[in-house]
Order: sequence, then C-alpha cells, then structure tokens
Amino acid sequence: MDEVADTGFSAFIALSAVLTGYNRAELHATGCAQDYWQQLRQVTPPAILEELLDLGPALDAAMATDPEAGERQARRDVLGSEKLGPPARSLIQLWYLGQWTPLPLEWRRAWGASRFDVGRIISTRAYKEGLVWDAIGAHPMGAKQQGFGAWALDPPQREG
Amino acid sequence: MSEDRTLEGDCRELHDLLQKALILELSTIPPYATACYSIKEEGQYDRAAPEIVNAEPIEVLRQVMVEEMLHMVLVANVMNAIGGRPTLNDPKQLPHYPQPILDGKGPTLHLRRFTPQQIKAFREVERASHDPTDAASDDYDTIGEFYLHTIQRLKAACCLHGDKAVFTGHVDRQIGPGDYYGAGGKIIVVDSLESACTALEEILEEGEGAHHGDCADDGDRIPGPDDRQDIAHFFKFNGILHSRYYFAEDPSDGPPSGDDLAVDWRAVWPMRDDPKPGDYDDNPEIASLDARFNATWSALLDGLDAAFNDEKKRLAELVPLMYRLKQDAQRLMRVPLPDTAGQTAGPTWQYIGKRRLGPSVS
Amino acid sequence: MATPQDDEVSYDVVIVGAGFAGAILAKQLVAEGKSVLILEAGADRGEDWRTYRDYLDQYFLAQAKTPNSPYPNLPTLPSPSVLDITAVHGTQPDTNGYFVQQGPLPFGSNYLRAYGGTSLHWLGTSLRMFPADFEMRTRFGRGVDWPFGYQELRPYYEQAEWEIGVSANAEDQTPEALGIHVSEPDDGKNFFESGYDYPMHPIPDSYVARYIAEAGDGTPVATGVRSGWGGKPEPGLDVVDIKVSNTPQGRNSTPRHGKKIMVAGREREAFEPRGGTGAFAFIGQRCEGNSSCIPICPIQAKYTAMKTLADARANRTGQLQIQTQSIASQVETAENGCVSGLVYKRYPFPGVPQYELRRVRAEHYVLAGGAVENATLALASGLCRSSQELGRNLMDHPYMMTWGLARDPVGPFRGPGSTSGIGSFRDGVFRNEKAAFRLEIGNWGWNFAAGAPYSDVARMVGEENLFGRELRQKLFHRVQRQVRVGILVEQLPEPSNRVTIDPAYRDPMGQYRPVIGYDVSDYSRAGLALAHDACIQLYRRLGVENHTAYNPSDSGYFTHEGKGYTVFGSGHIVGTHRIGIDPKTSVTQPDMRCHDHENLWMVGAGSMPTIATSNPTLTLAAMGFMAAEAINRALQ
Repeated sequence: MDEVADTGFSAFIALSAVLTGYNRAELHATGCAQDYWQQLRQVTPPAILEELLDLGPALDAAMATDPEAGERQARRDVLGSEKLGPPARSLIQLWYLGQWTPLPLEWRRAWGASRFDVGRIISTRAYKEGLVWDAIGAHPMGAKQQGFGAWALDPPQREG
Repeated sequence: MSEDRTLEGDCRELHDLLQKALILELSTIPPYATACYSIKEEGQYDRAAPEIVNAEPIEVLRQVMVEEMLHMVLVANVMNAIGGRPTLNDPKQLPHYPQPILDGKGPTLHLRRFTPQQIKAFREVERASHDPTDAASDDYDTIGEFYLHTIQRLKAACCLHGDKAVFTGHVDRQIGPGDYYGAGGKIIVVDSLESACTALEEILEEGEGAHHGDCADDGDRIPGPDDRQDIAHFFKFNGILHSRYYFAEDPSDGPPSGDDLAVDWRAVWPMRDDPKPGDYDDNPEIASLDARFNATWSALLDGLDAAFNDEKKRLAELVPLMYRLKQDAQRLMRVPLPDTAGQTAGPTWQYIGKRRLGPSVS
Repeated sequence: MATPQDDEVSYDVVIVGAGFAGAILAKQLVAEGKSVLILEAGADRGEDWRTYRDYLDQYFLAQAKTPNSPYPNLPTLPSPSVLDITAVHGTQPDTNGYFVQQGPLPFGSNYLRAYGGTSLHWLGTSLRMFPADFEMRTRFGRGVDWPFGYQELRPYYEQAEWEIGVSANAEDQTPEALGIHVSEPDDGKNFFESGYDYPMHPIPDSYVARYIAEAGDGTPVATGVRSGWGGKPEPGLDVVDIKVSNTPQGRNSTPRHGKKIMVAGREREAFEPRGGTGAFAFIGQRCEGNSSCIPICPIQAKYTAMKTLADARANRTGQLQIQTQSIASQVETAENGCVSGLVYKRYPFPGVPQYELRRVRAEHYVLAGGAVENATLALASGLCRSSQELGRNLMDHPYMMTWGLARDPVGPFRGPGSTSGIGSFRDGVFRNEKAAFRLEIGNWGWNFAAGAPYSDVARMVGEENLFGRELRQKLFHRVQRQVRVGILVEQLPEPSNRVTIDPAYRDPMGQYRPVIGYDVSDYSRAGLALAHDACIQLYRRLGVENHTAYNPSDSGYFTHEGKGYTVFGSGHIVGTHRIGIDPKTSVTQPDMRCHDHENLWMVGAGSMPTIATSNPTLTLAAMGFMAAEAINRALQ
C-alpha cells in the first residue's frame, strides 16, 4: 500500500499514537488517518511539519521502552515548544473530535497562516470516529447506536 | 417400518435436525455481516459525487441478518417445544470459514467483503429449489428442502406418537413477542405441531418467498401506512445485484421493477478474503483488535445459548453486543495489512470460550 | 401588494402548518371524508429518506449542534435559533436573529419552520397536565382557569397518546405514584380511565436515573409556607420528598401485547410502532439509544408529525394536499367577520426571495403554525380584536440547569436525552406563593450544560496540558461522572409577555418578524430558586460535587433575592391565543374557534390558558383531536 510505504505518513501515525494514547492499529481503525494527514499537511508549513515528523518515530520508540521518559521527552520537545506545541494540540483534538481546531493567532503570525486553518468537522466519518467517544466509554451522539436499553446497563469499566 | 421407530429415537432425530438448522442459520450470519460491515458508510456531504452513498445495500443486508437472528429464535422455540436443548457455543459445531453447508451438499460460505460475486453467493444460499423427493428423503441440497424435510419428519413423528408425546417442552423456555422485539418478522410461540409448522414455514418464506417461487413477497408486512409486503432474502440479494428494489408483487422469474437501489461497489473496505487468526501473528496491535472482536462474538454466542436455555432475560444484553460486534468488525476492516497490496484486516469470527462481557472500553 | 392569483381548487379546510397540530387535524378531517389543504412554509420533506439522511449528515458536520442544526435554515424563511440569543440591553431591541427581542429577558426558545415542524427535534416527553393545572385561579388565585377540566380532556389525552405512541405504565404516572402532595385530595381519582394503559411499555430508566433514585429518593424538601401559617413550614404538608419516576415518552419501546386497551371508548389492538420510511421502514421500531433525540433521531424511533401526515395521506376517505414552499401571508375577512380567503406566498426556489402571490379559499381555515407564528399572522391580518389578548400571555418553561460530578461512573452519553425525572413538585399548596416545577434527569452528561465532551477535550488539551494515555484516562474518569439535572418551571399568563408586530421588522419575504417582550416573574423565579435548592440538597445527599455556575454575562441571567441564576428557553411556546368562554378575555372559544371569526380556528399550544409543568406537546395534541371533532361538526 502506498500510504504504508510513505514514510511521512507512518511518521505521522507514530506521532499521533504518542499524542493520543491510541496505538497505530487503533488509529487506522478510525478510517480517518489519511484525511487527518492531509489536513495537517495543509495547515503546517513544510519545515515545521518535517520537524514534527522527525520526532514522531523516536518518541513512539521511547514510549515503548520507558513510557514515563517518553512522555517527558514529548512534553519537552513537542508540547512545550512554542513552535510545535500548537499544531500538536490541534492534532490531538483532531483525532479526539474529528474537528480541526484553528491555530492560535500568535502562532500564525510567527509561523505562517494557511487558508485551511479553519475550524471544521473533517467528514461525517471523522465526527463518528472521534476518539473522545471511545475514551469516555460512550458512542458518538447520533451514530453507532448501542441498542435498546443499553443506557440502563452498568457503566462501562475501564482498565486503569 | 414405522414399528421400528421409537418416540425416543424420533425425538433424537428431530433434535439433531433442529440443532443442525440452528447452526445453519448461525453460519450465514458471519458472511452476511462481514459483507455488510465492509461497506463504507459515507455521508452525502463528504464527497463531491453523491452516488458514493451505500446506505441502501447496508440496510438490505441488515434486514436479512435481523431475520436470520429471528430464524434462530424460531428454531430454538421449536426445539424447546419438543424438549430439545438448543446449543450455540459448542466449538465442535460452530462454523469455520470457508464453511460448506448442508453436509457439503450446499454452497460453501466465505468471509468476504461486499462484492457482486459474494452477493451472488448469498443469493445461491437462499435460492428456492424444491425437489419433493429430495425433501422426503434426507437428500436435501437446499435450505428449503432441508426445512421441508424437517417439517415432514416432525409431522410423521406426531402422527405416529401423538402431538402430546412430542411436544413436551416447558412453555417458560419459549421466547415470545415481549421478550424479543425489534422487527424482522413474527415471533411465534411454539406449543403444538401447528405452531411449529408455522414457525418453520416463516423461516422458509422469509428466505425464499411466501409462494415458493411465484413472486417476491415473504408474507410479512412492512411497517407504515401503505400496507405493503416485504420480500424474501433471495430477492433482497437479487435487488442489490440489479441496483433496483423488488415489489412484493414482482414475479420471481423476472427482474425487479421498483425504485433505484443505489450501490457503489467501490466504496468498500478492501478486506482480505477469509481472514484467519494466524494472519495477525506478526502484528500484535491488529491481533488485539481481533481478540476484542472474538471476545464480543463469543459473548454473543454464550448469551444466545443462555437465552435459549432458561435465561431469557439475557436477550436484553444481546442487542448491545451485536452493535458492538459491528463496531469491532468495522475497526478491523479499516486497518491496512502490512505487506499486502493494500488489503485490510478483518474479523476472524472465532469462539474463544465462555465469557460474559459487560460494557467496556478499550 | 400585488393582486393574488386565485387557486382553482377550493377545500373544506385549509390548515397553515405541517407540525404536530396540523398533522392531527388533517388526519382526523380526512378520516371523515373532508378535503384538506396544508400550507407549509418549509421547503422540503423529511419523510423522504434521502432528505432525512441529508439532515443527519448536516447534523454530523455542524460544529454547533443546536436543535435546528440538521434542518434547512433558508435566509428567506428564518427560524429562531438558540445561537441568536443575547442579553437585551436598555430600550434597544436585539435584532440578531429572527425574533426581535425587546426583553427585559430574551425569549430563549426556538422552533422549526419545516415539514414536520418542531416535532423533528422535540425530546419526546409526553406528560399529561394535572387537574389543578386547569384551575389555577380558583385554587391559587393565580393565572386563569381553563374553560374545561382535566376529566373533559382525558379522552383526548388517550387519543393523543395513541397517536404519538407513548411508552409508559399508567400506574407509574398518577399524581400519587409521582409523589405529589396534590392541592386537592380528589385529584388522583380516575386520573386514568379504568382499563386504560399506554400503547407501549416504558422506556427503561437510565442507569444515572437509577443511581440518583437509589440514594436520592426520599430527600425532603421544604416547599415553603401556606398563607396563614405564620411563616412556618407546615409539617407533613409542605415538606415534599424527592421521588424519581419514569417519564412517558413518545419514542418506540415494546408494544403491549395481549391486553386490549380502550382508547377514548374504542378498543385497540396492539400498537404498531413505526420508524423510518421507504427503504428504511424496518428501522426505528424501537429506540436504539442514539443519544441525539434533540436535534435528530437518526432512526425515527421518536414520534414526529411526519408519521401522522403519512397516515393522513394514505387515508382515501377524504383528500389531503400538502403544499410546501407556501408561506401564509394574510388572512382575509369579509364584513361579517368570516374569513374569505387565505393569501400565501409560493416560492419556486428555496432561499431566493421571489414568490408568487396566491389565494386559496375554503369553508374553514385553521392556523396551526405554533404559538408565535399563529399570533404573528393573525396580528398581521388584523384579526381577533374583541379581546386585547391576541399575542399576549406568551409562556415557556424557563429552563435552568444544575450539574456536578458524581462519586462513581454513571454511564452518561447513552440513550434518550432523559428517561426519568422528578415529578414530586408538579403540584402542591405552595403554588399559592411560587411556581410548580419538574426536574429532568439528563442522560448526556454536561452536554447541554457545558458542551461536553468537546469542552472537556478542549480544556484538557488546551489548559490542563494533557495528552496520550493520561488524557485518555482522565477523560473517562471526568466525563463518566457527569450528572445534570434540568429544571422546568411554570410561568403564569401575563399580558406583558407577548408577541407583537412592527412594520420596521420584516423578513426577506416581506413577512412580519415576531417582536417579543418577555420576562420571568417573581412567581416563577421563586419556583426556580426552590428547584435549585432541591437540586443542591439532592447533590449533598448523593455526594455529587456541584459544578453549577451562573454567570452575569449569560444572556438569560437574572437575580432573585440576592442570588443569580441563568435560564434558557425550553421550546415550550404556549399561550398567545388562549381559549375561554368570554370573548373579552380570550381569543378563541373552548373548541378553538375564534370568537370573532366563525370559520377561523387557531390550534396548537397557543390555545393553552396556562402552561403548568408538563411539556405542552401532549396537551396540544389532545386539543388538536378536540378541535378536529369541532371542525368536523361545523362542516356537517
């Protein structure tokens, strides 16, 4: 598959796995990975995108060996960075909500604005596949119905 | 010959036939569901071309599956009425795909994505073809003949031993309209030869048609003010292939004459054919998604088995499980398989032992 | 104004509006062989499944998932939107949205101008009013009495419940079962006809409702004092215990089998639930827990007026024409007061402000466009002048929320918006002093209250700097514990709460926009304050961490006895053309025929003299059956 061969895309998935707490297969399982990759490329200047993607696989590997160290590294290099933090936070929200959150004004002034940097729900699938619904133990409102009486069952359990 | 037949022996034969029917109905669900869940659910606003909307074939396949579930309930009711024990979680009896049906005399069922070939294969499963001599002997090679044979054996046993001797099951084991409700035709409580035949004929009608060959209807009413009849499975599949709905009145040997049924064969996840657990040995992340699916499937089978055997209350938890099964399957079908030409993973439909799943998150 | 072109065909009855009331009227009139035309201002028909799926897609893609968000909002045919509500300052009206808001509080409710009307996004709550609600003046010296009582409306309630397909147990819904200390001892007698029951079994109570009931039932709330008691609570009478109860809902559950039910004297077979249409007729026979009743039930397991309209069209006893894209513009009257014609604007292209002016004639005319549109059209046509009441006595249920975090996961964001509530405070002697209210237990966490779960993600990522596994875990533990209770309080009919028109404010089609003056009186504020206290007591008992916050910058912010509260509208728009015996104090007769115009009827929640604590849909539907009988009689 071209997209799998595409190293940029797989670095994007690795970065996304670190940022979201969902593994690669779970991210692919949304069916939205390509659309989100496209969205990130459209709003992020190439140099910054490259920086982000360079960090992705390394962070993912670090996380696999020592999660706490990996998390510290991600905070230091990505989320704590004035340059990389804002797009990373928008990317987390993109995965969780299926919706692009526009970058802050200061960031745009500093690093450049894109006409694709507008708040929107990427697609109907993106709405339904927002990770937030899985994370909170529910289903997207208006889709993936749980069946008659499911609301009367015990709340979902979460490991950890 | 009839002197040779004991009540005990006849009942055992009927139990075996009905257990076979139960597993037969069950065996159709994974292939139908796999095809159905492989279809992309696109919104009309997502793409410039509005024809990329496969809501209709998804719904048609869903209707068939819901009716197969109903058929399982009907078979279980007949079985319980004659003192049998419906079994749904015996690993030795559960289907493994590719799975031939009717002891190898029927078609072979595969787990494949939604393609014209696969829908044609489904149509063959539901094809009406009745050779009375086949049904009279045990030489049936279609589902219709198999059920006709079962009905004949049931009638013969009642004729020989008397209805009362055959229908010994406890009424509490019957699943009724109040226990099982969610469309898909009539639920029939079985307590006599007559109701048993009605139940088994309902299965036949929904599968291949009420008139066994004349027109497309299956004798069920479509909910709504228009008082129209639903059509049998054979014609539902055929409608997808023709991209057109049947009317209940359409002759069975002619093409459908109803509205357009929009089908986009391209908007389908490219799932690998007949996925097997070994396929994911090198990929623990995918294996874990498949394990989750199989846990749901196993919980569903255990729940059905319990519901058919005195724990009717368990039916309430099965609908949420079925929806969860769908989500679990769809997740797998979107995950690309490494080292394939763009194929994606798929659910393996393995029974992995007794489980009771509460609602949970990954 | 251009000269209207006359339609060639005339009808027995012309109905304005294809919503709850119009649909029931049409069905009942057609069943008696009448010819009926419905004029609907909206542009398309959600009964076609493709259109309905369009609505659903639009909902998925809407960033602000407001009640109207799935549905068409033509610039030429605006509907009021909750996004337009802002605080009204000083004497300058707020003209942001479709409504011209004069204040002092904004009227926060919305409705939908479309085929099916607001039934497309109602929640489904189907409560009857109580006997006391029809005698507010006599019993409490407040508001007005109705020209008839509960018992007279009761058979029509049965018809309405059958039409809507309500799921509930009758024995759970009597005043006694709800834990109400009724204001008169006989109120519970014959509340239901013996042998009557709802067409479907109850929708199961949600887990969160049972969680609240388990520890919260029995929480005592002092409801206040009876006059003459020296300011002290009267023990045993004024202290009401909280009791959680199942809410009757217009959504499909399991039909009652094996029990014949008498509906308004007629024996009925088991109810046949209906959901989607066309290729999707086999979905929605049961609620499947999509958690989006408002704004849209994807499988149509919830009742909408489109179901009744489909019945009406299928009945060949009479004839039904439904004409969309037709905005009723002017009701014309002759010298004797009779209506001589209805002028409407038929627009060929949705969204384009061009139209053809037409006139249709009928024996009888019915306005069924909802309380605000009915009043606006009647005012624009100079109708109903004997009383000064047209457009006045506008009421709603001011809607306040309280919310908090429970000690345990409660399984929110599952199932219908609300399956259960607390009805214990829907009547009582305290209504001398303060408004009665109902509490509604929300099933969708803080969705209505704070925009959860979107707001949780935004805050955790943007402010709490969480990501990865920790984000995932914290989201679960926070959102799973979200509890929300809604408060719906009654309003009294007040002349200053009103709809008027002003030539300065028109929409792009040249139609008058509703100009609304609105406030919440001290009587209702006192009820809200009591309800708020009841929620706080409940939370204390449950150990729920209270997160309720009312902000002075909220558009619906007000103060009462030094404390601040925020209210929203609940979309329960009632009372602009109330029924009554006296033409000086009411707009229509008890059967909803206008006092001043013999062949004009105004039907809908606008007919209700008081709102009480029940969501008005079931009552307006019952009154629709009542009006249909009267119109059928008038046509004989």
